[in-house]
Amino acid sequence: MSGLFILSLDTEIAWGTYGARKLSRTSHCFNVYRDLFPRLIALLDQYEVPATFAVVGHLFLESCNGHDEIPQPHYRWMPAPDSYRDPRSDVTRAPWYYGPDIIARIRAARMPHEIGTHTFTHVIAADPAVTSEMWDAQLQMCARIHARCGLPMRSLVYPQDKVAYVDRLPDYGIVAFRGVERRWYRSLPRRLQKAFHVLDRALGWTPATYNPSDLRVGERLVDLPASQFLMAYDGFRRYIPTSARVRQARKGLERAARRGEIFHLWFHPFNLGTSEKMFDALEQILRRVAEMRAEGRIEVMTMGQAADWILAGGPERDRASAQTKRQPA
Amino acid sequence: MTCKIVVLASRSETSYLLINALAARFDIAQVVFEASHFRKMLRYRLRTLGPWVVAGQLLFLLWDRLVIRPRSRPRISRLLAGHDTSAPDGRLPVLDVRSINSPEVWKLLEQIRPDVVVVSGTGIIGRRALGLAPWFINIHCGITPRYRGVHGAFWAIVEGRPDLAGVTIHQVDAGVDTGAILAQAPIDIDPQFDTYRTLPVKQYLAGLDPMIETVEAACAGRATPITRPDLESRQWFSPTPGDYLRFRRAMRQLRKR
Repeated sequence: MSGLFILSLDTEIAWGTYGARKLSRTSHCFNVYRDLFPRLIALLDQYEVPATFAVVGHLFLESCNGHDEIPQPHYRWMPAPDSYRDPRSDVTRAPWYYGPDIIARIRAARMPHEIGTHTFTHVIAADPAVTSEMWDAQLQMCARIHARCGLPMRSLVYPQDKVAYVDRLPDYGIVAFRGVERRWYRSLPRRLQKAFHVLDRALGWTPATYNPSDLRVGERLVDLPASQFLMAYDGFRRYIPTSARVRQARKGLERAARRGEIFHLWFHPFNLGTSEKMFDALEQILRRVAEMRAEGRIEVMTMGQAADWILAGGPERDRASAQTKRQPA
Repeated sequence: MTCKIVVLASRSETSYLLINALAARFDIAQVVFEASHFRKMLRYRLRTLGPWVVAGQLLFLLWDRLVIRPRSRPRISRLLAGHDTSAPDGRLPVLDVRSINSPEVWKLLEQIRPDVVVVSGTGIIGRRALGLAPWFINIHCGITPRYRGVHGAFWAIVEGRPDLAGVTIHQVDAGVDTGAILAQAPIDIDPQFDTYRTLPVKQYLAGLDPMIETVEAACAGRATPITRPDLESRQWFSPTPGDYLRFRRAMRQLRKR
């Protein structure tokens, strides 16, 4: 039984960046986004790795005049309602908030990438400001857009990995969501969690891999938790060497292959703009994935494919056939 | 008469507030946002202030991040309620650059040939850029020349001069807030309510109307400098924990009055 590699990419451009200061710090990455994206697609094509692009629904739009029909949250930690972030403009004037060209790039790729959702305007589901009505409105809007584009909406990545309203997902045809990375330090206070997370990445501890048999959430949904965030080279994280990032991913891939488990890597495409070293790290990881796949030790799937396989009893079948092979004739 | 205006700013809610207030009155040809330069600023401060002061400033910065900023957030929301603090992206032509002093910005200013350049929270603007428009007008959070540099209202309170907490609209020259003063407005200090973080918001709010009037006057060619011979010139930097304790003490004394 081989391991499973999933790559998910939170495609949000500036939608996931809250507050003017953070926007300012990341602005250069957004400005070069249209240059980075074709390089990313080419790299995935080169190593024949299909990825899951969790796209913020608003990026599908060419232009808009706001979305007053959709109830929007007003987070306590933001000075203005979230609807203020919508530029009510078009892709030429506000390319950070619209991206039909990005969707076209994904669809034109040689690899059959999956386009999942990252909500319509990157709402943080678990925040107290987000009601169930708001959540439903977001998913309804995304479902409409996906249907209009002829794209099935089968996977979801929660903005900021804040998981909530899980029971609603199957109603929109979603079969997989990316759950929170399961690490021992997740139960600690938030700041300690952050500190340990950085330490984890800097030291390249073996990341979490997951037994596919344990990931079902009811009959129609699968939680595919994250294993590793491919850390950007911003702030103090720039001092963490590329080798630590790659070593950690290799450890995760080896463990997943050895145990027949899932290794789920993720990052934001704009993270690639923080340093050329990001592309270097990603290429090294993808090269290792391709090698292990050629050796028959790892399979590569999108989130939707992995969920289908799990829901169809794939892990159990594989385990049974592995046991049969082990038994002497 | 149409007046071509360019805004050079750093991304912040207060800059957005100013840009939106100006956009409601004037046609803004371009907004240029400069990325924050923490490391560059750190190097400059290490050179000018030395490692001990900078270490203290960093310690205070941490305290600000962990305590002052989260506590001030609801108060800032209350101050900004009813004001448009949305980002101008999509509504106005926006360009994000790493440095205001870059060929990209010079080229842009040469192309647009603005009548007035409004400045908010950027780094020092070089002479080359300053030569590309007749008026560079800055909003400064402090009453100059006494409170040049940063956090003017904070230092005014520390010095026991809350009457000198305010905002200055001035012309930009090659120095740090040394340009000719065009307008000044005081702010009311509420010792029960105000924090290190609410003061700059109040200063921006107080500066909106004077800025609009000054830009109008500059466009009409009748902006006239005022002088403050009563005030000594001094540049201020970010506070250290010791300065913050002095500020707290001064606020306590104001509460007792």
